[in-house]
Amino acid sequence: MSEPEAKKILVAEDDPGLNRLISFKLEKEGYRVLPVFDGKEALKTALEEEISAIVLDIMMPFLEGIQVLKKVRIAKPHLPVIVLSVKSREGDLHQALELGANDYMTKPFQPEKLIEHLQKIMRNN
Amino acid sequence: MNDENLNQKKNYAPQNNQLSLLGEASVLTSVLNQVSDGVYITDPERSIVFWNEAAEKITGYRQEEVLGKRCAENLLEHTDLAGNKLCSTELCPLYKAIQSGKTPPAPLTIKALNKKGERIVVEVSIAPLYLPSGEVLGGIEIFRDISDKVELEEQKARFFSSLSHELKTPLANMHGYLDLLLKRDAGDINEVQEEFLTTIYNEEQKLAGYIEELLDMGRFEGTDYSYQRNILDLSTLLENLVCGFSAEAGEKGLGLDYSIQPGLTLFGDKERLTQAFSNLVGNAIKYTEAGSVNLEAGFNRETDEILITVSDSGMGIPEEEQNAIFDIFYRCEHSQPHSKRGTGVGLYIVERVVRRHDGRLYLKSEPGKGSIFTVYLPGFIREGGQ
Repeated sequence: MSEPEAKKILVAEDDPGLNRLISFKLEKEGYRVLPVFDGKEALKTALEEEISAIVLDIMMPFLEGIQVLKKVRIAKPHLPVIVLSVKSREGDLHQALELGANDYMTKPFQPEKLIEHLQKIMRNN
Repeated sequence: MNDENLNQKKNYAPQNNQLSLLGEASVLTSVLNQVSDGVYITDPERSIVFWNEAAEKITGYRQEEVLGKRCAENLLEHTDLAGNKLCSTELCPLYKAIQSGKTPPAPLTIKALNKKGERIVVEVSIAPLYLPSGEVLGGIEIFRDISDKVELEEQKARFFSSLSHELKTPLANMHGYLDLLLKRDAGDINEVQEEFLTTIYNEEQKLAGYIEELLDMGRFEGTDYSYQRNILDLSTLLENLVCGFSAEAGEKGLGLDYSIQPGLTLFGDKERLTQAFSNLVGNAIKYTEAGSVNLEAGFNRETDEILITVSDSGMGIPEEEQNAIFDIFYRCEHSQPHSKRGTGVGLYIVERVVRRHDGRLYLKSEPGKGSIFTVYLPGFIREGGQ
Protein backbone atom coordinates (compact mmCIF):
# COMPACT_ATOMS: atom_id res chain seq x y z
CA MET A 1 0.00 0.00 0.00
CA SER A 2 1.44 3.39 -0.96
CA GLU A 3 2.34 5.95 1.64
CA PRO A 4 0.47 9.12 0.57
CA GLU A 5 -3.02 7.64 0.93
CA ALA A 6 -2.37 6.18 4.40
CA LYS A 7 -5.88 5.78 5.72
CA LYS A 8 -6.61 6.13 9.41
CA ILE A 9 -8.29 3.21 11.12
CA LEU A 10 -9.69 3.27 14.62
CA VAL A 11 -9.04 0.02 16.49
CA ALA A 12 -11.31 -0.12 19.55
CA GLU A 13 -10.48 -3.29 21.48
CA ASP A 14 -9.95 -3.45 25.24
CA ASP A 15 -7.70 -6.52 25.17
CA PRO A 16 -4.24 -4.90 24.78
CA GLY A 17 -2.73 -8.07 23.29
CA LEU A 18 -5.32 -8.31 20.58
CA ASN A 19 -5.42 -4.57 19.98
CA ARG A 20 -1.67 -4.42 19.39
CA LEU A 21 -1.78 -7.49 17.15
CA ILE A 22 -4.51 -6.02 14.94
CA SER A 23 -2.84 -2.61 14.91
CA PHE A 24 0.53 -4.10 13.99
CA LYS A 25 -0.99 -6.03 11.11
CA LEU A 26 -2.83 -2.97 9.85
CA GLU A 27 0.29 -0.84 10.02
CA LYS A 28 2.11 -3.52 8.02
CA GLU A 29 -0.57 -3.06 5.38
CA GLY A 30 0.18 0.65 5.30
CA TYR A 31 -2.64 2.04 7.40
CA ARG A 32 -2.34 4.53 10.22
CA VAL A 33 -3.86 3.11 13.34
CA LEU A 34 -5.55 4.88 16.23
CA PRO A 35 -5.72 2.28 19.00
CA VAL A 36 -8.19 2.82 21.86
CA PHE A 37 -9.05 0.55 24.76
CA ASP A 38 -12.51 1.54 25.96
CA GLY A 39 -15.86 2.57 24.58
CA LYS A 40 -15.77 6.21 25.64
CA GLU A 41 -12.40 6.78 24.02
CA ALA A 42 -13.66 4.95 20.94
CA LEU A 43 -16.66 7.24 20.56
CA LYS A 44 -14.62 10.39 21.13
CA THR A 45 -12.00 9.39 18.56
CA ALA A 46 -14.59 8.20 16.04
CA LEU A 47 -16.39 11.54 16.17
CA GLU A 48 -13.36 13.83 16.29
CA GLU A 49 -10.94 12.18 13.91
CA GLU A 50 -11.05 11.86 10.16
CA ILE A 51 -11.03 8.06 9.94
CA SER A 52 -11.67 5.56 7.16
CA ALA A 53 -12.99 2.65 9.20
CA ILE A 54 -13.55 1.29 12.70
CA VAL A 55 -12.66 -2.09 14.13
CA LEU A 56 -15.07 -2.18 17.05
CA ASP A 57 -15.14 -4.70 19.88
CA ILE A 58 -18.67 -5.14 21.19
CA MET A 59 -17.72 -5.83 24.81
CA MET A 60 -15.77 -2.88 26.15
CA PRO A 61 -15.51 -1.05 29.45
CA PHE A 62 -17.30 2.27 30.12
CA LEU A 63 -19.38 2.20 26.96
CA GLU A 64 -20.45 -0.92 25.12
CA GLY A 65 -19.57 -1.22 21.45
CA ILE A 66 -23.27 -1.26 20.58
CA GLN A 67 -23.74 2.20 22.11
CA VAL A 68 -20.66 3.47 20.30
CA LEU A 69 -22.03 2.12 17.04
CA LYS A 70 -25.44 3.74 17.59
CA LYS A 71 -23.93 7.17 18.12
CA VAL A 72 -21.37 6.85 15.35
CA ARG A 73 -24.06 5.82 12.87
CA ILE A 74 -25.95 9.05 13.54
CA ALA A 75 -22.91 11.22 12.95
CA LYS A 76 -21.24 9.18 10.22
CA PRO A 77 -23.83 6.96 8.55
CA HIS A 78 -21.51 5.63 5.87
CA LEU A 79 -18.35 4.95 7.85
CA PRO A 80 -17.30 1.29 7.43
CA VAL A 81 -17.51 -0.54 10.75
CA ILE A 82 -16.50 -4.11 11.46
CA VAL A 83 -17.51 -5.46 14.86
CA LEU A 84 -15.73 -8.07 16.96
CA SER A 85 -17.58 -10.40 19.26
CA VAL A 86 -17.56 -13.83 20.81
CA LYS A 87 -19.81 -16.58 19.61
CA SER A 88 -21.72 -16.75 22.88
CA ARG A 89 -22.96 -13.19 22.35
CA GLU A 90 -24.84 -13.82 19.13
CA GLY A 91 -27.62 -11.49 20.19
CA ASP A 92 -25.21 -8.58 20.29
CA LEU A 93 -23.99 -9.43 16.82
CA HIS A 94 -27.49 -9.39 15.37
CA GLN A 95 -28.12 -6.07 17.05
CA ALA A 96 -24.87 -4.64 15.70
CA LEU A 97 -25.71 -5.70 12.16
CA GLU A 98 -29.19 -4.22 12.50
CA LEU A 99 -27.63 -0.98 13.68
CA GLY A 100 -25.62 -0.86 10.49
CA ALA A 101 -22.33 -2.60 11.18
CA ASN A 102 -20.94 -3.59 7.78
CA ASP A 103 -19.38 -6.86 8.84
CA TYR A 104 -18.34 -8.87 11.89
CA MET A 105 -15.71 -11.29 13.15
CA THR A 106 -16.18 -13.78 15.96
CA LYS A 107 -13.22 -14.29 18.26
CA PRO A 108 -10.87 -15.99 17.97
CA PHE A 109 -10.10 -15.08 14.37
CA GLN A 110 -7.02 -14.80 12.20
CA PRO A 111 -5.89 -11.17 11.96
CA GLU A 112 -5.37 -11.68 8.20
CA LYS A 113 -9.05 -12.50 7.84
CA LEU A 114 -10.01 -9.35 9.68
CA ILE A 115 -7.92 -7.26 7.32
CA GLU A 116 -9.40 -9.05 4.32
CA HIS A 117 -12.93 -8.29 5.51
CA LEU A 118 -12.04 -4.74 6.43
CA GLN A 119 -10.54 -4.02 3.03
CA LYS A 120 -13.58 -5.47 1.36
CA ILE A 121 -16.06 -3.26 3.19
CA MET A 122 -13.85 -0.22 2.61
CA ARG A 123 -13.76 -0.97 -1.11
CA ASN A 124 -17.53 -1.34 -1.25
CA ASN A 125 -18.02 1.94 0.49
CA MET B 1 -52.79 -52.69 43.03
CA ASN B 2 -53.91 -56.27 42.69
CA ASP B 3 -56.00 -57.69 39.92
CA GLU B 4 -59.09 -58.06 42.07
CA ASN B 5 -59.16 -54.33 42.77
CA LEU B 6 -58.70 -53.49 39.16
CA ASN B 7 -61.44 -55.87 38.14
CA GLN B 8 -63.80 -54.28 40.59
CA LYS B 9 -63.03 -50.93 39.08
CA LYS B 10 -63.65 -52.28 35.69
CA ASN B 11 -67.15 -53.22 36.79
CA TYR B 12 -67.79 -49.72 37.96
CA ALA B 13 -66.32 -48.10 34.98
CA PRO B 14 -69.21 -48.30 32.54
CA GLN B 15 -71.79 -46.77 34.90
CA ASN B 16 -69.73 -44.25 36.82
CA ASN B 17 -67.40 -41.65 35.51
CA GLN B 18 -63.76 -42.24 36.29
CA LEU B 19 -63.73 -39.38 38.78
CA SER B 20 -65.93 -41.18 41.21
CA LEU B 21 -64.17 -44.38 40.39
CA LEU B 22 -60.97 -42.86 41.62
CA GLY B 23 -62.71 -40.98 44.37
CA GLU B 24 -63.68 -44.25 45.87
CA ALA B 25 -60.14 -45.42 45.87
CA SER B 26 -59.65 -43.29 48.96
CA VAL B 27 -56.55 -45.11 50.10
CA LEU B 28 -54.94 -44.53 46.78
CA THR B 29 -55.98 -40.91 46.91
CA SER B 30 -54.45 -40.31 50.29
CA VAL B 31 -51.27 -42.06 49.26
CA LEU B 32 -51.01 -39.89 46.18
CA ASN B 33 -51.62 -36.82 48.29
CA GLN B 34 -48.65 -37.70 50.47
CA VAL B 35 -46.10 -37.81 47.68
CA SER B 36 -44.14 -34.68 46.92
CA ASP B 37 -44.36 -35.11 43.16
CA GLY B 38 -47.31 -33.74 41.30
CA VAL B 39 -49.57 -36.51 40.05
CA TYR B 40 -52.53 -36.29 37.75
CA ILE B 41 -54.61 -38.89 36.05
CA THR B 42 -56.69 -38.47 32.92
CA ASP B 43 -59.33 -40.46 31.15
CA PRO B 44 -58.65 -41.76 27.64
CA GLU B 45 -59.66 -38.37 26.18
CA ARG B 46 -57.08 -36.70 28.40
CA SER B 47 -59.63 -35.03 30.68
CA ILE B 48 -58.21 -34.68 34.14
CA VAL B 49 -59.91 -36.94 36.69
CA PHE B 50 -57.43 -36.75 39.52
CA TRP B 51 -55.06 -34.03 40.69
CA ASN B 52 -53.03 -34.47 43.87
CA GLU B 53 -51.99 -31.89 46.46
CA ALA B 54 -48.43 -31.64 45.20
CA ALA B 55 -49.81 -30.83 41.75
CA GLU B 56 -51.78 -27.99 43.37
CA LYS B 57 -48.66 -26.75 45.07
CA ILE B 58 -46.44 -26.90 42.00
CA THR B 59 -48.89 -25.40 39.52
CA GLY B 60 -50.97 -23.18 41.80
CA TYR B 61 -54.17 -24.66 40.34
CA ARG B 62 -56.58 -26.22 42.79
CA GLN B 63 -58.14 -29.58 42.10
CA GLU B 64 -61.59 -28.12 41.47
CA GLU B 65 -60.19 -25.75 38.86
CA VAL B 66 -58.75 -28.49 36.71
CA LEU B 67 -60.97 -31.53 37.12
CA GLY B 68 -62.78 -32.33 33.92
CA LYS B 69 -60.56 -30.01 31.91
CA ARG B 70 -58.63 -31.61 29.15
CA CYS B 71 -54.93 -31.41 29.68
CA ALA B 72 -54.85 -30.57 26.00
CA GLU B 73 -56.77 -27.36 26.64
CA ASN B 74 -53.45 -25.71 27.21
CA LEU B 75 -54.12 -25.09 30.87
CA LEU B 76 -50.45 -25.36 31.69
CA GLU B 77 -49.20 -24.46 28.23
CA HIS B 78 -46.75 -27.29 28.09
CA THR B 79 -43.85 -26.69 25.78
CA ASP B 80 -40.56 -28.44 25.33
CA LEU B 81 -37.47 -26.49 26.26
CA ALA B 82 -37.22 -25.06 22.77
CA GLY B 83 -40.74 -23.65 23.11
CA ASN B 84 -42.57 -26.09 20.83
CA LYS B 85 -46.15 -26.42 22.01
CA LEU B 86 -46.94 -29.94 23.07
CA CYS B 87 -50.62 -29.73 23.96
CA SER B 88 -53.23 -30.34 21.27
CA THR B 89 -50.62 -31.73 18.93
CA GLU B 90 -49.49 -35.18 18.01
CA LEU B 91 -46.41 -34.33 20.05
CA CYS B 92 -48.29 -34.45 23.35
CA PRO B 93 -46.40 -37.19 25.19
CA LEU B 94 -49.51 -38.24 27.11
CA TYR B 95 -51.48 -38.59 23.88
CA LYS B 96 -48.69 -40.67 22.42
CA ALA B 97 -48.51 -42.86 25.51
CA ILE B 98 -52.27 -43.48 25.52
CA GLN B 99 -52.34 -44.13 21.78
CA SER B 100 -49.37 -46.45 21.67
CA GLY B 101 -49.78 -48.02 25.09
CA LYS B 102 -46.08 -47.49 25.59
CA THR B 103 -44.39 -45.72 28.44
CA PRO B 104 -41.77 -43.23 27.30
CA PRO B 105 -38.40 -44.65 28.35
CA ALA B 106 -37.21 -41.60 30.24
CA PRO B 107 -38.73 -38.65 32.07
CA LEU B 108 -39.25 -35.64 29.83
CA THR B 109 -38.25 -32.16 30.71
CA ILE B 110 -41.13 -29.85 29.99
CA LYS B 111 -41.81 -26.19 30.55
CA ALA B 112 -45.18 -25.29 31.96
CA LEU B 113 -46.98 -22.17 33.08
CA ASN B 114 -48.14 -21.96 36.68
CA LYS B 115 -51.27 -20.11 37.73
CA LYS B 116 -49.33 -16.93 38.37
CA GLY B 117 -48.11 -17.08 34.80
CA GLU B 118 -44.55 -17.99 35.72
CA ARG B 119 -42.61 -20.50 33.69
CA ILE B 120 -41.70 -23.57 35.64
CA VAL B 121 -39.63 -26.50 34.48
CA VAL B 122 -40.90 -29.93 35.38
CA GLU B 123 -39.58 -33.38 34.84
CA VAL B 124 -42.47 -35.51 33.73
CA SER B 125 -42.93 -39.26 33.77
CA ILE B 126 -45.84 -40.48 31.75
CA ALA B 127 -47.58 -43.80 31.47
CA PRO B 128 -50.79 -45.15 29.99
CA LEU B 129 -53.20 -46.75 32.47
CA TYR B 130 -54.65 -50.05 31.43
CA LEU B 131 -56.97 -52.56 32.88
CA PRO B 132 -55.73 -56.14 32.74
CA SER B 133 -58.39 -56.70 30.08
CA GLY B 134 -56.52 -54.25 27.89
CA GLU B 135 -59.14 -51.54 28.16
CA VAL B 136 -57.66 -48.07 28.24
CA LEU B 137 -58.38 -46.36 31.53
CA GLY B 138 -56.43 -43.21 30.73
CA GLY B 139 -53.02 -41.86 31.46
CA ILE B 140 -50.97 -40.74 34.40
CA GLU B 141 -48.44 -37.93 34.62
CA ILE B 142 -46.05 -37.60 37.51
CA PHE B 143 -44.12 -34.38 37.58
CA ARG B 144 -41.38 -32.86 39.67
CA ASP B 145 -40.54 -29.19 39.85
CA ILE B 146 -36.91 -28.88 38.76
CA SER B 147 -36.90 -25.13 38.09
CA ASP B 148 -34.19 -24.52 40.71
CA LYS B 149 -31.97 -27.27 39.40
CA VAL B 150 -32.35 -26.05 35.85
CA GLU B 151 -31.43 -22.56 36.99
CA LEU B 152 -28.30 -23.97 38.60
CA GLU B 153 -27.37 -25.81 35.43
CA GLU B 154 -27.88 -22.66 33.43
CA GLN B 155 -25.57 -20.83 35.79
CA LYS B 156 -23.00 -23.55 35.33
CA ALA B 157 -23.29 -23.33 31.56
CA ARG B 158 -22.81 -19.55 31.74
CA PHE B 159 -19.76 -20.11 33.92
CA PHE B 160 -18.26 -22.52 31.41
CA SER B 161 -18.98 -20.20 28.57
CA SER B 162 -17.20 -17.32 30.25
CA LEU B 163 -14.35 -19.56 31.44
CA SER B 164 -13.95 -20.81 27.92
CA HIS B 165 -13.71 -17.25 26.66
CA GLU B 166 -11.19 -16.30 29.34
CA LEU B 167 -8.95 -19.27 28.55
CA LYS B 168 -9.15 -19.02 24.82
CA THR B 169 -8.50 -15.31 24.44
CA PRO B 170 -4.87 -15.31 25.63
CA LEU B 171 -4.15 -18.44 23.61
CA ALA B 172 -5.58 -16.88 20.48
CA ASN B 173 -3.39 -13.82 21.04
CA MET B 174 -0.30 -15.97 21.55
CA HIS B 175 -1.15 -17.77 18.38
CA GLY B 176 -1.45 -14.49 16.52
CA TYR B 177 1.93 -13.20 17.70
CA LEU B 178 3.73 -16.48 16.99
CA ASP B 179 2.23 -16.53 13.55
CA LEU B 180 3.45 -13.00 13.03
CA LEU B 181 7.01 -13.83 14.15
CA LEU B 182 7.16 -17.00 12.08
CA LYS B 183 5.95 -15.21 8.98
CA ARG B 184 8.80 -12.70 9.50
CA ASP B 185 6.26 -9.90 9.78
CA ALA B 186 8.26 -8.48 12.67
CA GLY B 187 11.63 -8.89 10.99
CA ASP B 188 14.10 -11.65 10.32
CA ILE B 189 14.73 -14.56 12.65
CA ASN B 190 17.51 -17.13 12.51
CA GLU B 191 17.09 -20.85 12.04
CA VAL B 192 17.34 -21.78 15.72
CA GLN B 193 14.89 -19.05 16.68
CA GLU B 194 12.52 -20.35 14.05
CA GLU B 195 12.84 -23.89 15.39
CA PHE B 196 12.08 -22.77 18.94
CA LEU B 197 9.20 -20.56 17.91
CA THR B 198 7.78 -23.45 15.93
CA THR B 199 7.98 -25.59 19.03
CA ILE B 200 6.12 -22.95 21.04
CA TYR B 201 3.59 -22.72 18.24
CA ASN B 202 2.98 -26.48 18.24
CA GLU B 203 2.72 -26.60 22.02
CA GLU B 204 0.26 -23.74 21.94
CA GLN B 205 -1.84 -25.63 19.39
CA LYS B 206 -1.82 -28.70 21.60
CA LEU B 207 -2.81 -26.69 24.65
CA ALA B 208 -5.64 -25.05 22.73
CA GLY B 209 -6.90 -28.49 21.69
CA TYR B 210 -6.78 -29.78 25.25
CA ILE B 211 -8.60 -26.77 26.62
CA GLU B 212 -11.26 -27.18 23.96
CA GLU B 213 -11.81 -30.82 24.85
CA LEU B 214 -11.73 -30.30 28.59
CA LEU B 215 -14.27 -27.52 28.27
CA ASP B 216 -16.41 -29.84 26.19
CA MET B 217 -16.20 -32.35 28.97
CA GLY B 218 -17.13 -29.72 31.53
CA ARG B 219 -20.18 -28.84 29.52
CA PHE B 220 -21.08 -32.50 29.18
CA GLU B 221 -20.52 -33.45 32.77
CA GLY B 222 -23.74 -31.84 33.94
CA THR B 223 -26.47 -33.83 35.55
CA ASP B 224 -29.43 -35.10 33.60
CA TYR B 225 -31.21 -31.85 34.25
CA SER B 226 -28.81 -29.95 32.08
CA TYR B 227 -29.76 -32.22 29.21
CA GLN B 228 -32.40 -30.59 27.14
CA ARG B 229 -35.01 -32.84 25.70
CA ASN B 230 -36.42 -31.01 22.77
CA ILE B 231 -38.14 -32.39 19.74
CA LEU B 232 -35.30 -32.82 17.36
CA ASP B 233 -35.17 -33.59 13.68
CA LEU B 234 -32.21 -35.96 13.77
CA SER B 235 -32.21 -36.55 10.01
CA THR B 236 -31.50 -32.90 9.29
CA LEU B 237 -28.99 -32.68 12.12
CA LEU B 238 -27.02 -35.64 10.76
CA GLU B 239 -27.16 -34.47 7.18
CA ASN B 240 -25.83 -31.03 8.06
CA LEU B 241 -23.19 -32.60 10.24
CA VAL B 242 -21.90 -34.95 7.55
CA CYS B 243 -21.86 -32.15 4.98
CA GLY B 244 -19.79 -30.11 7.41
CA PHE B 245 -17.09 -32.77 7.28
CA SER B 246 -16.89 -33.05 3.49
CA ALA B 247 -13.97 -30.63 3.19
CA GLU B 248 -11.97 -32.48 5.84
CA ALA B 249 -12.60 -35.85 4.17
CA GLY B 250 -11.86 -34.36 0.76
CA GLU B 251 -8.48 -33.07 1.93
CA LYS B 252 -7.48 -36.61 2.86
CA GLY B 253 -8.91 -37.99 -0.36
CA LEU B 254 -11.52 -40.01 1.53
CA GLY B 255 -15.01 -40.75 0.35
CA LEU B 256 -17.73 -39.51 2.67
CA ASP B 257 -21.11 -41.08 2.01
CA TYR B 258 -24.35 -41.02 3.86
CA SER B 259 -27.79 -42.45 3.65
CA ILE B 260 -30.27 -40.94 6.08
CA GLN B 261 -33.94 -41.78 6.34
CA PRO B 262 -35.94 -38.53 6.53
CA GLY B 263 -38.16 -37.75 9.50
CA LEU B 264 -36.06 -39.37 12.24
CA THR B 265 -37.18 -37.59 15.38
CA LEU B 266 -36.40 -37.84 19.06
CA PHE B 267 -36.54 -35.90 22.28
CA GLY B 268 -32.96 -34.87 22.68
CA ASP B 269 -30.28 -32.33 23.33
CA LYS B 270 -29.29 -30.83 20.02
CA GLU B 271 -25.92 -29.47 21.07
CA ARG B 272 -24.82 -32.65 22.75
CA LEU B 273 -26.00 -34.99 20.02
CA THR B 274 -24.25 -32.83 17.45
CA GLN B 275 -21.09 -33.05 19.51
CA ALA B 276 -21.36 -36.82 19.90
CA PHE B 277 -21.89 -37.54 16.21
CA SER B 278 -19.21 -35.01 15.28
CA ASN B 279 -16.81 -36.92 17.49
CA LEU B 280 -17.72 -40.20 15.78
CA VAL B 281 -17.46 -38.87 12.23
CA GLY B 282 -14.39 -36.76 13.08
CA ASN B 283 -12.61 -39.78 14.58
CA ALA B 284 -13.51 -41.95 11.60
CA ILE B 285 -11.92 -39.40 9.26
CA LYS B 286 -8.93 -38.83 11.52
CA TYR B 287 -8.02 -42.50 11.77
CA THR B 288 -8.68 -43.43 8.15
CA GLU B 289 -5.93 -42.93 5.61
CA ALA B 290 -7.59 -44.40 2.53
CA GLY B 291 -11.03 -45.50 1.48
CA SER B 292 -14.18 -43.99 2.88
CA VAL B 293 -16.29 -43.02 5.84
CA ASN B 294 -19.96 -43.83 5.78
CA LEU B 295 -22.91 -42.74 7.91
CA GLU B 296 -26.25 -44.48 7.77
CA ALA B 297 -29.37 -43.69 9.75
CA GLY B 298 -32.70 -45.47 9.72
CA PHE B 299 -35.62 -46.45 11.89
CA ASN B 300 -36.60 -49.79 13.37
CA ARG B 301 -40.38 -49.78 13.75
CA GLU B 302 -40.38 -52.91 15.87
CA THR B 303 -38.24 -51.47 18.62
CA ASP B 304 -39.07 -47.79 17.99
CA GLU B 305 -35.40 -47.09 17.74
CA ILE B 306 -33.32 -44.91 15.50
CA LEU B 307 -30.25 -46.73 14.29
CA ILE B 308 -27.14 -44.83 13.26
CA THR B 309 -23.94 -46.42 12.03
CA VAL B 310 -20.66 -44.69 11.37
CA SER B 311 -18.22 -46.92 9.56
CA ASP B 312 -14.76 -46.38 8.19
CA SER B 313 -12.04 -48.25 6.37
CA GLY B 314 -9.42 -47.03 8.80
CA MET B 315 -6.80 -48.58 11.02
CA GLY B 316 -9.33 -50.30 13.25
CA ILE B 317 -9.10 -50.96 16.97
CA PRO B 318 -7.53 -54.14 18.38
CA GLU B 319 -9.92 -56.32 20.33
CA GLU B 320 -8.07 -55.88 23.62
CA GLU B 321 -8.60 -52.12 23.42
CA GLN B 322 -12.20 -52.13 22.34
CA ASN B 323 -13.65 -52.11 25.82
CA ALA B 324 -11.41 -49.35 27.07
CA ILE B 325 -11.92 -46.81 24.30
CA PHE B 326 -15.04 -45.35 25.89
CA ASP B 327 -13.20 -44.69 29.15
CA ILE B 328 -12.28 -41.15 29.90
CA PHE B 329 -8.70 -40.19 28.98
CA TYR B 330 -8.12 -43.48 27.18
CA ARG B 331 -6.00 -43.15 24.08
CA CYS B 332 -5.33 -46.06 21.80
CA GLU B 333 -1.80 -47.40 22.13
CA HIS B 334 -1.47 -47.87 18.42
CA SER B 335 -2.42 -44.41 17.24
CA GLN B 336 0.70 -43.05 15.61
CA PRO B 337 2.76 -40.73 17.80
CA HIS B 338 2.85 -38.04 15.15
CA SER B 339 -0.83 -38.03 14.41
CA LYS B 340 -2.87 -35.48 16.31
CA ARG B 341 -3.62 -37.25 19.56
CA GLY B 342 -6.65 -36.22 21.47
CA THR B 343 -7.17 -36.09 25.20
CA GLY B 344 -9.13 -39.30 25.22
CA VAL B 345 -12.32 -37.40 25.86
CA GLY B 346 -14.04 -37.74 22.47
CA LEU B 347 -15.52 -41.22 22.68
CA TYR B 348 -16.18 -40.81 26.39
CA ILE B 349 -18.47 -37.93 25.46
CA VAL B 350 -20.16 -40.03 22.78
CA GLU B 351 -20.84 -42.80 25.25
CA ARG B 352 -22.24 -40.45 27.87
CA VAL B 353 -24.44 -38.55 25.47
CA VAL B 354 -25.87 -41.76 24.00
CA ARG B 355 -26.48 -43.19 27.45
CA ARG B 356 -28.19 -39.99 28.63
CA HIS B 357 -30.54 -40.32 25.69
CA ASP B 358 -31.33 -43.87 26.83
CA GLY B 359 -29.52 -45.21 23.84
CA ARG B 360 -26.90 -47.87 23.30
CA LEU B 361 -23.55 -47.76 21.60
CA TYR B 362 -21.65 -50.66 20.06
CA LEU B 363 -18.31 -51.03 18.35
CA LYS B 364 -17.27 -53.62 15.82
CA SER B 365 -13.74 -53.34 14.61
CA GLU B 366 -10.98 -55.27 12.98
CA PRO B 367 -7.44 -53.89 12.90
CA GLY B 368 -6.45 -52.94 9.39
CA LYS B 369 -9.98 -53.19 8.07
CA GLY B 370 -11.91 -50.48 9.86
CA SER B 371 -14.43 -49.79 12.57
CA ILE B 372 -18.20 -49.62 12.77
CA PHE B 373 -19.84 -47.66 15.56
CA THR B 374 -23.54 -48.37 15.94
CA VAL B 375 -25.82 -46.14 17.98
CA TYR B 376 -29.39 -47.00 18.95
CA LEU B 377 -31.58 -44.14 20.18
CA PRO B 378 -35.23 -44.32 21.20
CA GLY B 379 -37.23 -42.13 18.87
CA PHE B 380 -39.95 -41.98 16.31
CA ILE B 381 -40.61 -41.15 12.70
CA ARG B 382 -42.40 -37.96 11.80
CA GLU B 383 -44.10 -38.67 8.55
CA GLY B 384 -43.26 -36.11 5.92
CA GLY B 385 -40.49 -35.13 8.31
CA GLN B 386 -39.58 -31.50 8.02
